Amino acid sequence: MTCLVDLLSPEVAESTAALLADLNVRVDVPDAQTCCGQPAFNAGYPSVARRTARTLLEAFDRSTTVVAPSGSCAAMIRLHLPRLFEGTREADRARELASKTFELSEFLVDVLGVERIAGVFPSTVAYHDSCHGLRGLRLGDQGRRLLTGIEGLRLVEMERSDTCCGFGGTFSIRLPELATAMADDELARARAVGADVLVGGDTGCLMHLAGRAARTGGPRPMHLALLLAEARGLRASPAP
Amino acid sequence: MSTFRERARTLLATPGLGSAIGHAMDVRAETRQHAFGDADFEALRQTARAIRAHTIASLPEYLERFADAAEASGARVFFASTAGEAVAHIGRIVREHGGRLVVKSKSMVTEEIELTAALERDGAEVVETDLGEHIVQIAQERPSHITVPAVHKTRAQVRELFERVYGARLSDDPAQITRFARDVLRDRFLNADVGITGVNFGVASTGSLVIVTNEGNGRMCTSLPPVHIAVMGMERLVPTFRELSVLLPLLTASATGQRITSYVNVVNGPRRTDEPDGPEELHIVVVDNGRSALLPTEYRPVLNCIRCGACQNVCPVFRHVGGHAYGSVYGGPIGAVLTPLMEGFTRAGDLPHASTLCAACSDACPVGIPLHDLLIGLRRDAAAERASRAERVGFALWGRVWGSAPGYRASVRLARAGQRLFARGGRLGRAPFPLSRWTAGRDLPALAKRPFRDTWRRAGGA
Amino acid sequence: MERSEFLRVVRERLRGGDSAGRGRPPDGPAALPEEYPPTPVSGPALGPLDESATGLIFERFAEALAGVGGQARLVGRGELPEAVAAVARGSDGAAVHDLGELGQLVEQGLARAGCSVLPPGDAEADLGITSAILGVAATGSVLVSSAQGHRATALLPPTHLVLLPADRLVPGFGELCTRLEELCRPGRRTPSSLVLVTGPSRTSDIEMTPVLGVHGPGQVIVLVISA
Repeated sequence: MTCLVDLLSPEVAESTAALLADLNVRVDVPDAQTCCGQPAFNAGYPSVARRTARTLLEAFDRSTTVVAPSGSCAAMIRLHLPRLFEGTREADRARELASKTFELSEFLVDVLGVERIAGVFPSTVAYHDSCHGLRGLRLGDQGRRLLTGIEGLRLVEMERSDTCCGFGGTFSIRLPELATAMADDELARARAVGADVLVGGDTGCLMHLAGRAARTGGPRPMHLALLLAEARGLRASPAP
Repeated sequence: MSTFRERARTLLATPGLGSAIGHAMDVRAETRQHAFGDADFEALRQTARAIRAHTIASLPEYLERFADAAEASGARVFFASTAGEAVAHIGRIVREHGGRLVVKSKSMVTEEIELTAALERDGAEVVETDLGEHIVQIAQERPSHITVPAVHKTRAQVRELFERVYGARLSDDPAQITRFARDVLRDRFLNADVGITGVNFGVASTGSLVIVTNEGNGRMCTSLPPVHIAVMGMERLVPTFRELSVLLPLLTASATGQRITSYVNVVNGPRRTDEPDGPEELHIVVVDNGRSALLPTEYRPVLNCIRCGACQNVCPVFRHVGGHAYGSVYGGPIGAVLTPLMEGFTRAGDLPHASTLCAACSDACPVGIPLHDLLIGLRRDAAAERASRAERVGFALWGRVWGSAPGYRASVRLARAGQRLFARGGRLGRAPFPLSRWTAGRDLPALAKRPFRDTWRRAGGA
Repeated sequence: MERSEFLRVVRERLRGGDSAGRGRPPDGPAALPEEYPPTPVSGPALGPLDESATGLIFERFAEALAGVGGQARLVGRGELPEAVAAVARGSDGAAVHDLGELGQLVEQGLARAGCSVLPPGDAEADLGITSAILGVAATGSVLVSSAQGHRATALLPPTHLVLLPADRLVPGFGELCTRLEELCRPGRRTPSSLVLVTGPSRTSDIEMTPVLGVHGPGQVIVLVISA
């Protein structure tokens, strides 16, 4: 589920579970998981990262497939966990977990073969490619393709849509002025193409952009899972 | 000693800087696309990486071959293991030849070793002849970008600068300012005792120096003064011209979005006795200055660097603050990696954190340096060397508590109690340090009323 | 530092001595790849160089050179004096390399234009005339050699006129590099300076605004001479 979603945006996990169930996927959310370890790993504390990542190795031991509504967590698991656990007892499990973990949009499109999702969501929407998704996992246009079937949804492209939003985990706290300037840059580019909604696959990015938009106005950042679930009427009540 | 954050804040507040740099980066992005055309960038990149890795793995043999061939052509080759040695040797040569006027073409390694300051202390006049470098020299600033050193200046600022320093009366027209600079600098070229340049590539098989420019100042410095000193980072070799046929187009396309520069200067020793002009002496100074120390480490790939500046051209952090934020010779992603390695973590330990790890740099690097991965390695090494006790303890504690689901849940209960002081309507407008840094400019979401895992469990996991 | 000591240190560090506790260098291929992929300047694939190929390769050359602000013309030997005169009209003095059998034709052209011939390497000339030992079609470049005359002739005057026999055109940068490897081989009488010139000098250092004509010539004209 990812720790950020669990604690700050549970509606994203609810939406993800509902979407998958709607597609006849058997969903489980093992409770043993805490955090993939990315914050510690990126801050230069790999042994700390191993401690929390270990909970994922255990939690997903018996799962066939693991889906994360987060490009950065999926990237951490696929790209870094195998090397992080190299030479330890968990090396095989880490490699195994890496081989069966997917980000949500790539799971829907590449694994389940979903071509479009029918639904209604009248809005002008710009897509935010998260860096870990784009350059880590090499995601392509899966996210955008999932939006094409939605009635009333007009997809627009921002200039430099592959430019980082400025979250970067601890960067957003270490260098807040830069992080804010980078958020402003993205929100301005989204506004310039008339977007009401800025959709993406990573809660960290979205939280950072939404936090800034709350002060300066601008399109509403929204997780892809949330948008799809709302479009399909799978949510009991809209997000706050 | 200022920090990256302090410098960044000042630069963010500098009017016009962000848009000047952004504009430069946008132009570069477009011309780069055009320069590469249909060529397979990935395939070229992999080839270039292999060429660089191979060359570095056999560097002693190639350096030997290079030096032998260069000496056979009449050049004198000096190996400088430290900046001090290089500067002392070059200073001697300059003094031996009059030591009054030195013309210089762009060279990052000469800035690393702080050559100009040393020569000036000796009483020489040292003139930077690359227009952008000349501008920052007379402004007494550091370059803000590897290939466009004065990108942070507007045309009006450049005009004012020339008016102030040279007493000229000029318009804001870049062509007019350039023509003026041409006249000033031509006089210097024709009267200089020594010309000093860098080297883009040394060719090991023939001992040739390859120096590329668009302005022609490189050719001036290598042809007009009676002495030419070429300063080369020890890793800047290619085995033969065949490897140059891959690396040079990659350099020009990545650096300036050109298929080729106006001039590719191939120097083979000083003038021959039957040639009518050219320098009588050619001195090649091969510089280590911390490079070989990287060979046994995981940071060896950074030596692949061909100083193209592509990483700077795509970096979203660089876009907002430019090279000056890095406080050193090298800025942008390559600076964030090289500077701590060369100058240590006490001076530059915050640079690896001046990044969101977005990896745009690694994707753009034509010689396959995994810059963003190296940044994580540097963060790890910096933490091991000088993290505060508070940080170390904080992370260790976090790891312990979140090392299990029960610990995680307990910490959430604690945080929820703590946030009651700050949360209003699901958001925090203010928060205590360090989260105060976030809330200075952004709202922070409050913890959800119920973590998802509880909702899931309550719903029977269905 | 002595060369042998310098290299000894490098060898030792390559073997892995003293990594100061940092991780190991990445494993990877240490051999050069067999094949190199085409680059943006690899040039057109050409069949055997017959007359039609000459036309094609010249067209490519002229297009590339025009793209960077230079000019190229294909001329027969008989047309050379007038072609030179056309360039030299308006110039007071030209510095000229030793051009061998083309030298007389060039001097005729200069006389026709009323342009005097200055001592070679004269720094005041407004026109510099050199030959080129090679031309590169993919980029519109010409290779000028210090063995043909003063370096200054191709560098100081604001206009550079280049004479290039058509059979010296090669398709791309790869072929150029092959020739450079031969030309610069140790033991040969290698010219001390070989400059690949591609159009006029330029800069974008002020606000990324392109300006032509900085230190090197601002005008470059290449006369490609067919047999």
